Amino acid sequence: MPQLSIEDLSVEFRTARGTAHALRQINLTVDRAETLAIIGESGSGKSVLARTILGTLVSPPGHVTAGRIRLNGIDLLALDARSYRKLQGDRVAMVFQDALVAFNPLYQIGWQIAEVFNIHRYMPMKAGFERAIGLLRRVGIPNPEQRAHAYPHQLSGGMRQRAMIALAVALEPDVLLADEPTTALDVTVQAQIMALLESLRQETGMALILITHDIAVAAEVADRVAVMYAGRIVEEGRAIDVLSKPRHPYAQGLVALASGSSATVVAIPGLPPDLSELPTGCAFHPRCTFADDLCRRRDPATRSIAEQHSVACHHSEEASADA
Amino acid sequence: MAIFAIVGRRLGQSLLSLLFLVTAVFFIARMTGDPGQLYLPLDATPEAVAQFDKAHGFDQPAYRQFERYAAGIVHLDFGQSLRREAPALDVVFEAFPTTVVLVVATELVALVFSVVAGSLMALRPGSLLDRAGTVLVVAGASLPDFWVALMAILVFSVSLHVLPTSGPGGILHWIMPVGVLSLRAVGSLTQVVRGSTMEILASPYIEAARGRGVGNIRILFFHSLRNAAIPVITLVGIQVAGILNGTVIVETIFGLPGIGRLLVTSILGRDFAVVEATVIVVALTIFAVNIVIDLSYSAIDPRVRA
Amino acid sequence: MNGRYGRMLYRSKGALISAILLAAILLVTGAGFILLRGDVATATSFSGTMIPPFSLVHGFRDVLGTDLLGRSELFRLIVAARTSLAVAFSAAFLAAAFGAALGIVAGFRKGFLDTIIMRLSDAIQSFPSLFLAVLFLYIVEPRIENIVILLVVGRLPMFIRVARAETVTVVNSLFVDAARCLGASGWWLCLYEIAPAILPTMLTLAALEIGVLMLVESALSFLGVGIQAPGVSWGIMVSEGRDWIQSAWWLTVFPGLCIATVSISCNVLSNWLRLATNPVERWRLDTDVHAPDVGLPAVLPGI
Repeated sequence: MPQLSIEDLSVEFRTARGTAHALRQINLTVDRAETLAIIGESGSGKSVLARTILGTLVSPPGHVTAGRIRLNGIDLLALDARSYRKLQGDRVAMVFQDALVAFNPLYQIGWQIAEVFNIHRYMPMKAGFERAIGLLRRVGIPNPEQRAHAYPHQLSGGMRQRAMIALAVALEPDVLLADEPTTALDVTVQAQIMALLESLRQETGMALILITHDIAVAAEVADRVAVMYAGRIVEEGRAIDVLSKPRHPYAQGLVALASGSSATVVAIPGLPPDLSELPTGCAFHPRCTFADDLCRRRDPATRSIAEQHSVACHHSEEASADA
Repeated sequence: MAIFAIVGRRLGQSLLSLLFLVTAVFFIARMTGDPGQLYLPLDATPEAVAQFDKAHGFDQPAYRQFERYAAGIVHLDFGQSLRREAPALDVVFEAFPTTVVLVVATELVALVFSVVAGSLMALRPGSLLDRAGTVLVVAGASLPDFWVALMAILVFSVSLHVLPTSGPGGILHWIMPVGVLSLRAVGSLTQVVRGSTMEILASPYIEAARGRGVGNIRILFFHSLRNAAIPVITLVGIQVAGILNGTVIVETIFGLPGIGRLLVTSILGRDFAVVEATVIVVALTIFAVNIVIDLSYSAIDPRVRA
Repeated sequence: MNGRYGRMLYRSKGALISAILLAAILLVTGAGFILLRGDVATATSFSGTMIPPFSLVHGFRDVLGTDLLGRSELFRLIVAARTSLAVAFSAAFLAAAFGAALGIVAGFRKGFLDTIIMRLSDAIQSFPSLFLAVLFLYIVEPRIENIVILLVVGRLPMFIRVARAETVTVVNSLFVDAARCLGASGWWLCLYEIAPAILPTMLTLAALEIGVLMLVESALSFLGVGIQAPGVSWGIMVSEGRDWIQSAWWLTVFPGLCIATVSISCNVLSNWLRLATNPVERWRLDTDVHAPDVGLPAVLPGI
C-alpha cells in the first residue's frame, strides 16, 4: 500500500477577484522510502498541494472541492481538526523554504523541537530538550548542546535549515514534505542538505516529497517526478523517464532549459496563466508549439503512455517524436 | 551589565530634555507674576509685600534665584511650598501615590481589555464582533474625556445613585475615574493588539507551528502573544504621558488629590516651588517608565539583546 | 479621478456618514457666520431662562434649550463652532506644514540637523503636553493666537516623525536617484518630488489631528486656560454647564456631543483616507469584498 495516495484532488481559492483553481484533479501516489519530486514554476500550485497535504490550507479562502488524500490508509480530508492535529508533525511534516521565518524568533531552537515531543509524546520539555540535542547532532550541527540554546537568528542559513529538518523528522513521520528546501541556500550547502535528506529517508523509510522548480536538484535525488502546470499534473513517471525523455511539451521545455546544452537559449514563450482565468481547453495551449483546435477545446485527460508514465496531452507522440 | 547600558543610553537621550525642562520651568513659573503681590491679600501694603518677598528670597535678581534653585535641586530641595507650610517636594510626594494608583490601574484595565478584545477580533476578522468592536473602541477614544466624566457622573451618580460623585475613598470612588481615563488608552491599544495579532497569525512561523500539530490555545499563548507584546509595550510607554494628561482633568473633576490636580491648583496659586517640583517629578517618572520599557524589550525579544 | 474617490467614499458607509456630518457642521457654521450676527449668542433674556430642550416656547430658537441667562443653546453652539473649528483646523494645518518642512529637512539632510530636530521632537512628545500647556497659558494671555501656537507646538513632533519617516523611504527609493541623475538639486527634489510623495500620509494624519486638536482645545477651555469668556467655544460651554449638571443637563450634553461628533468623524475619515490614498490598499474600498482590515491605523488617537 502506498504511503500517501492522492485521488482527484481539487482545490479552489474563492476571493473577491474571482475563483482561482489552484489544484485540478491531482492524482499522485508515493511509496514508502520513495522520493517524489514535484516540479513546477510559481503559480503551478505546488505549494498549495503541499499545504493541503499538511493540512494548513487557510480555509477561507481555500476550499477542497473534491478528492481524497490517504495517508497510510487514513482519509485525511475526512478527519476533524483535532484528529488531523494529532497527525501533523507526527505522521506528516514539512520543511519550509525559509528557515528564518519558519521558526519563532523568540524561542530557542531546542525549545521549539522539544515542543513537538511535548505535544505528541507528552514528554516533559526538559526530556524533549535532550532529544532535541540528539537530533541536532544527527543533522550535522556541530556543538549541539550549545546550539540548542541558540535563537534562530543566531544560526547561519545552512545550520538553520538543518535545524528545521531536525524539527520535521523529530517524530519520524511517514511522509516528509520539503518545499524548496534549498532555494535560499548557497550551492555547496544545497548539496549537503539534499544529502542529509537522502540519508534520513534511507534511515527511517519515510516517503519524501520534494517540491522544487530546480530540475537539477530533482534529478539528483528523485525516484519519481511529477511536473505541474496551472494546477494540473501534466506529466508523471520515473525520474529517469521523465527527465531524459519528457513527453509533455512543457516538461520538454523545462528539461531543455535546465540542461542548457544548446547554443541558443530556447525559452518557453509566454507566461503562466492566471489561475482564476484559465484558458479554455488545455491550460498550456497558448504557449505550446503543438497546439491545435483540439487543444483549445478540450483539456486533455491523463493517459498512461508507458509503464508508470502518464501524460496529460493530446499530442504527446508528436511532441516526443520531435524531441 | 546590560542594565547599565540601557540606563546609560536612556540617560544620554533624556539628559538634554531634562536640563531644558528644569531651566524652562523655573523661568516660566517666575514669569507668571510677582508672587508676593499675588499671594498676599489685595490690600496688603507695599512694605508687607516687600517683606514677604525678602523672606522668601524673591527680591534677589533672577540669576541668583536660579543659582539657589539649581543648587537646591541637586540636593532634591525644591524649597518651601507657599500654600502649605511644608517642603515642596513633600507636597508633591503626598499627591504622588494617588496619581500612580490611577495611572497603573488605568493601564492595567486597558491592557487586559484590549488584549482580550484585540485577540478575539484578530481571530475573527471581518466578523460582527470585529467591526462592532472597532467602531466602539474608536468612538470611545475620540470622546472628550472631561465630557465623558461629566456624563458618567450624571448617569451613575445623579440619576442612578450607584457611584459616588467625587473624592478619594474605597474602590467605588475609583471606578469612574479609571473608566474615563482608560477610554483613550483602550482605543489605541485594542487596535494595536488586533493588528499585531493578525499580522502574526498570518506569518510563516505560525503556519509552521500549526503544521506541527500545535493547537490553537498554545499558538495563541506561546507563539502569538509574546510576539505581539513588543508593539504593545512600545505603545504603553508612549501612553503614559497621555494618561498623565488625562489625570489633570479627571482628578479635577472627581476631586482626587493627585499630581494633576496639584499642578493646576499650584499654578493658580502661584506656588512656584510646587509647580517646579511637580514638573520635575513627572519628568523623572517618565524617564523611569521608559527605562522599564527598554528593559522589557530585552527580556522579551532575544534579537534585541546585543 | 474625483468620481473614483466618490465611489470609494460611498462604499465605506462609515466614512460617508462622517463626511456628511462634517460637511453639515461646516455648512451650518458657515450659515451661522452670515446669519447669526451680533450678540445673538450672548443676548440675555430673562423671560426664558433654563428652558429644557425639545420644546418650542420661543420658537425655533429654544429647541435645544436655554441657559441661566436665557441665551439660546442652539445659537451658542453654532457660534461656538466657529471658534472650535477654526482653532482645530488652523492648528492642524500649521502643524502639518511646519512638521512636514522640518521632517523633510531631517529626513533629507540627516546628520546633525536630523539629530537636533528629532531630539527636540522627542523631548516635546515624551512629556505630558497638557501640563506644560496649562502652565504656559497661565503666563501668556490665553488669546486665540497663543492657543493655536501652543497646540501646534504640542502636535508638531507627530508630524515631524511621520514626515521624516516617509521622506527617508522616498529618498531611498529609486525615482529620487533617477531625478538626481538628471541633475536635480536638493531644493527641487524636496519641493517637487518628496513633498508630493508624502502628501497623502500628511493629509491622513492632518485629518486625524483635527479631531485630536479639537479635543485638546476643548480640554484647555474646560480647565479655564483656553478660550476665555466672552468668547464661546464648545469646551467653555461644557465647563459652564458643569455647575448645572443636575438641573440643566442639556448645557453639558449638547456641546460635548458636538465635540465628540467632529472628533469621531475625523477619526473615521482619517482611516478611510489612509486606505484611499494608498494604491496598495485601495482595492479594499473599490471592490465589493468584505475584507478584514489588516492594517493598523496610520496614527493612533490620543494626546
